[in-house]
Amino acid sequence: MKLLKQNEAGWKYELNQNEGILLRMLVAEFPLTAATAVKIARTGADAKSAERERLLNESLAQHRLEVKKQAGKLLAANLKAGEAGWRLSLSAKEREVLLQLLNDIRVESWHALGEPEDLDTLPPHPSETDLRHHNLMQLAGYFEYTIVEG
Amino acid sequence: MPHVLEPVTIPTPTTGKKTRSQDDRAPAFFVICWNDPVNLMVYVTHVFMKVFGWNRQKAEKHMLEVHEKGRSVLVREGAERAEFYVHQLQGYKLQATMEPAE
Repeated sequence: MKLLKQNEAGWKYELNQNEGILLRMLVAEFPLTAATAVKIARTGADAKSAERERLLNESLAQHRLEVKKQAGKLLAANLKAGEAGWRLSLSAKEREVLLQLLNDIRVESWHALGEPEDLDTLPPHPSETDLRHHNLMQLAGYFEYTIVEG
Repeated sequence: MPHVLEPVTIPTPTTGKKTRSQDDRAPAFFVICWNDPVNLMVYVTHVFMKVFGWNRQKAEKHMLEVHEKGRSVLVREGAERAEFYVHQLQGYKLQATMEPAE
């Protein structure tokens, strides 16, 4: 995957055959798991922290649904087969939606793997599920990096 | 002889003073981003630029602080604004929290 053009209208990327298929597969995988609950504070809390945390987790669950809806539409409309592969066009907003979806897959895969410090090494006897999460985490990272850095 | 103007008393702008005083009393929060091994450095920089409107240099400085020191205080805000930023950052799956500043 590489950046072909960037202007005020947005970003255009070229993907080879495999990358196009893998990106579609990744978007279809989302959401990979139920979202891991998050904390709103770590070092201190005030009287409203519990309510804030509940609202945060509700808001994030709603946000995931919205990302899922938008990402499905944007790939259907913006990922087009070309002569040698695929062309992906993204507006600024669509680019953010896709990045959020990819990073959600990456982070949730990492949680599912037990939050390892070393992302490149698999456990000694990985299960099929471990292998799947490891591959999804690496793949999502690859696309994220390319989308951000071109 | 030139005409001498009577001294004019300019009213004290009390509104701004009152607002500032109220802000001082409102609880303040630090919005903090915590390190993890999974979020890519380029991604974290990108998110800081998007959420806070920072230039690359400032966003990279905070990203490196997260990476090297384990956390970075991104902004100090009132509760509502701090909560807004945490929602934004968590939407990108960064580990962000709001911690009481005092």
